[in-house]
Amino acid sequence: MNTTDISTAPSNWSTQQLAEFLVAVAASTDPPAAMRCAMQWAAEVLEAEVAAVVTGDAVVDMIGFPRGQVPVAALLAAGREAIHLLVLPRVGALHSTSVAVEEIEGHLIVARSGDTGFLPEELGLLRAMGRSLSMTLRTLRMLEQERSLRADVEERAQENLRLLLMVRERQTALERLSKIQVSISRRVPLPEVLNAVVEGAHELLGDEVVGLRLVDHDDPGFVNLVSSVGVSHAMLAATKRSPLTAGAGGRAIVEDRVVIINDYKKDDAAIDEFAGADLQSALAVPIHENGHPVGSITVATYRAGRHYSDTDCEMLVALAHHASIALNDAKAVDQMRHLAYHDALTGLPNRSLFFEHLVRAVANANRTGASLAVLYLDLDRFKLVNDSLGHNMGDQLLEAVAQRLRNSLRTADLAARLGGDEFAVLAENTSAEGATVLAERICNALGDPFRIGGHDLAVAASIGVVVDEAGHTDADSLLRNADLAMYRAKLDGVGQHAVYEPDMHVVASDRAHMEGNLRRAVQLEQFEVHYQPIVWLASGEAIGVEALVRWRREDGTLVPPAEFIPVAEDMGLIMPIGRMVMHTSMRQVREWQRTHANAAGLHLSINLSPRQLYQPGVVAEVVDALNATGFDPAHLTLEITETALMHDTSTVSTRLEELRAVGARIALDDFGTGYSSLTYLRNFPIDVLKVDKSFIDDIACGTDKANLARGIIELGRTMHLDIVAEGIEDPLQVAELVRLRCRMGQGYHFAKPLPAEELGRYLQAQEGTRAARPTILAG
Amino acid sequence: MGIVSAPLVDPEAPATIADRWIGVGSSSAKESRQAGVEAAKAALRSADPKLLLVFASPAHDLQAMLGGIREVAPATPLIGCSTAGEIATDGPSDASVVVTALGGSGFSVATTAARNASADLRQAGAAAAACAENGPAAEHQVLLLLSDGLGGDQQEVVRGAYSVVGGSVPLVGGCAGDDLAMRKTFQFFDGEVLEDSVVAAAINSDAPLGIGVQHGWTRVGAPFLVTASSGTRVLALDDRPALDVYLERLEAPDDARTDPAAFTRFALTHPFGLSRRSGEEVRFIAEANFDDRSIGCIAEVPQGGLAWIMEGDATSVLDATISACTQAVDGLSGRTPLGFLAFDCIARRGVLGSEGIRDEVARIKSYSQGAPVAGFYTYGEIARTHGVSGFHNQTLVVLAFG
Repeated sequence: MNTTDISTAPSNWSTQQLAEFLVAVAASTDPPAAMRCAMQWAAEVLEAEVAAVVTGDAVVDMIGFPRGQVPVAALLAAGREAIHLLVLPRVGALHSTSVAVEEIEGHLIVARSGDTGFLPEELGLLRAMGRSLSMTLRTLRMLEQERSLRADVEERAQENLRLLLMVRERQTALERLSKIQVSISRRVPLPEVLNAVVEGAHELLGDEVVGLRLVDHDDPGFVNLVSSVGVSHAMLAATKRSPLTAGAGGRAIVEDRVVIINDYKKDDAAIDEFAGADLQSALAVPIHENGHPVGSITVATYRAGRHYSDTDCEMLVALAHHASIALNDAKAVDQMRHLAYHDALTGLPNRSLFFEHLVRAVANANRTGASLAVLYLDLDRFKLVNDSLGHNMGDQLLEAVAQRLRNSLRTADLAARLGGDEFAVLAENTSAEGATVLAERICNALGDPFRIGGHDLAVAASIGVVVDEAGHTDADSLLRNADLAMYRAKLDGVGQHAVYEPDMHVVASDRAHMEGNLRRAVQLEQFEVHYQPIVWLASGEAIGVEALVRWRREDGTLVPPAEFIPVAEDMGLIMPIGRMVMHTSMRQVREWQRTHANAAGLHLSINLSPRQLYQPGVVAEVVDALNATGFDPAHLTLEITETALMHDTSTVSTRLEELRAVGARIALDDFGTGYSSLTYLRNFPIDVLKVDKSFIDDIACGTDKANLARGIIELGRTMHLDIVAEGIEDPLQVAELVRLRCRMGQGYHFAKPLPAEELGRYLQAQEGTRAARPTILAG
Repeated sequence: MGIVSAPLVDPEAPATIADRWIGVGSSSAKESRQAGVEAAKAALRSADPKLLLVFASPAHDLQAMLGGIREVAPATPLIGCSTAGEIATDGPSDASVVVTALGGSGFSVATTAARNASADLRQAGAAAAACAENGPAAEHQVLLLLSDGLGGDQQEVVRGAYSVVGGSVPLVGGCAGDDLAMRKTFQFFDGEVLEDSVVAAAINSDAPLGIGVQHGWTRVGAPFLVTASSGTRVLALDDRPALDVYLERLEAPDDARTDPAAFTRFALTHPFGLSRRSGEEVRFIAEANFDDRSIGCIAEVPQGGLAWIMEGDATSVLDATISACTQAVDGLSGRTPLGFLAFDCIARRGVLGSEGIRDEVARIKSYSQGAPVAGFYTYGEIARTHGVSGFHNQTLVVLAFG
């Protein structure tokens, strides 16, 4: 009743067992579990004591033998045989059978006690079990492969995703940076660029707070918060301006490096407001301008545990670099803009800017009815300095002049350098009186010598002033008129100012004419040398001549030196003219010395202009002329004016010494009219004093001036200098001069400057009337 | 899980066939310690006890009870468990203590306890079986296992033990009971009262041992295909909700269809029988889920298998008793039994009733030919004599000592 024979069991017993088996094995998650399940099932279903899974050389798993007593060889043997006997201790022989498990190239063995072996149906079932185990193992293997493949793919996908994210991140970062670059190159206003940088930092680094600070140019101990994100209004107000050293940003600037602060509150330099708000971490990077740290960009967070990676630092450095570029660019633009409108050397507005301002000023004056003044300045003697001391000194002098010019103006006045040594001033809302005052003030300011590179340089300015009522004159005309006025001032002398008058146009055009004519005159050799005798006052006998250059124009008119010499000097024509004068006069006087008995020791005085004197080659020129003409330098006197001595005293002194070494004598012309006459006598090798006409004029008047003249003559005698009185015009003067023991003189009283032929006749005449030459003791 | 091995009996002592004895003592004393003392004294009829088996009602203060036994036999290895009724030579009883003593040089015993069994039942079975590995390989050996039937699928305990001893050692035993409360059972190991444990005794004997296994249930009608099951739960039979099929097939009374307790009582005598090569593997039905129409067993019901609904009555159950005893005696190879141990399922007791079990024990005694009988009513039976399977439901297992 309780035992059921298989033979009477439902025919589907094995099928149904197999079904159970399949379900059980299919639930296995890995090969060992599948094999164990198969063994267990096979043993249970077939009521066998032993089940095993073996390969050719190993027992993979087994149940039924006592632990540690597995008969491996016997099992392997059982695996090879379809039918076999296994011995189980205390039980005896077991009928064993094995079926293939192809997937592992092995067998499923089942061994059962009892008298009989396995029935065909049982074997069939077992074979099916073996096959399904095999299939299950294969499926598991494939699943595993797929799983690991999938894991591989998953991992690769994860990796790819990570890379993609990284690339996207980079992409975003690059896009941000390139946007910033574009805005820099488009000269987007600097504040906008800096805002873009700050926003970029916020987006790319993710920190809530970003701040960009720049050092205050006017107050470098402080920084200003120029752009920020995540800073509340209240915080902004409190931290907009902070000491240079404050916060991560401050340290970044001071130490010029990347700064990370991880425990913000604990940091010494923490900005109080932020520390109080529980800021946790900050990363700061310096911003540079021309290589110097001028600011910083800082990102910071209130979140704990923020770790700033190398990538974060690199990112912020890149953003800071862009800010630096923008700053440099802005500065460059500013500089360019400034340069475009300003003179590089002096920093004054240049001609273009000045003109713009002038146009605007005229329009304003037109509208308001106010008057404005334009002053045109030209530095006298600047070319002298440039030529003698070099351009470096000249530049420094210009800078100094510009500074003094600036300082003598009102704030509203505009000074400009037009080029070279020309300056202009625009004074709006200024009357004619005011303009004149301004001109005088400038003259005074420029009147004191400049100390440049160890030298005392005196430059004066010729100033042309034009005043315009209510913008009636256009800017161009104003400038032109101011220029004309300046020329006039120049003609008036040194350090003069002149107010424009309409007739100046004539003078100007005259000058323009003169320049052209002069150039032609040099080419056409229209210059002549005239000679004025220098006589013994006692006898009236000519002891020498002063060579004076004259310009005879085509129409026969003579142009006096005062008119063309300055122009010639400005035009650089003085050297050729001077050379001509030297050669001509030496030759001429030499001739007279030979042909006229009473002129055997005739002296020749030649004027050397300051410009000539500063030329290093002047000594050579003189020597050259002496050699060319065979003139005895003992008879040569070179006349220089006091102006020549005002500059570069050492060079001048040397040159004078050199000239004296040649054998010539040095005469100081127009003595008494300059500032430091006595100093010159002390410092320079002078042989002759030529007392200025102005003193001679008064000498017979019995006035203070006469006393002064006497003083000069006495001075000269005391210093063993020859004295020549200039500009003698009447006998009274002669008598007085003789009385004062001035020995020589010249002037119209004796003869005016004469052409060579006429002077020759003069000398001739003298021969005839020659009296005994008195011996006047210099005493 | 703790493993405690009791020391072995001295292997040097010569074993004579005559030098083996089994004694069974029982006590109905209310006082637990006293009951232990009385039962132990009665069991220890001779010297050199090698093993004490204690089956006691959970109504007792088991610790005190063990203490009483220990007073009588302080050093003898002891295993035992709580019951759902005790069996002694004189007959079945409740709320009593039955002590079986094995002794003499012809026996050698090693014991083990595996604690926290439910954490890993298979491992617990293997650990408990460790006591069978040591010591001399006697000609006749049996591993006696007592476990906590409420702690999970006891098939795993059997498999675990099998993995250690293999097919060479028969397994016998039962699951502890708790007087049908189904709450907590206890196992005894030396002087300790344990829970959730497997206690084992590897008994080596000079003389043969016999094991008989029978259940006494018969099939009702045609088998069903277990179309859906999950572990111990049967979800669908022939693609229909299991509970519906079951109640229908058996034409179950109304109360069984609605009241869980009534159902359990009804199901006690109407188990599943899983189709096996020889016979059926009976599956005890513990309860039903009236909502999802599933039926819960105490051991696994494989999906895809064939299952019968079984039923039984006093006659079939008693017939099974005779069969089991006969089988067990057959194993003694003609020798006179020295004693019987009976592990009887509460389901069979349920069928037999109080009169029936008196009858049953009398029959067992008759087959023991007067030799002492001890045992208890179990929540599951262990017997593996061939094949690999060894856990039974609603079965009688008889171990005969020769």
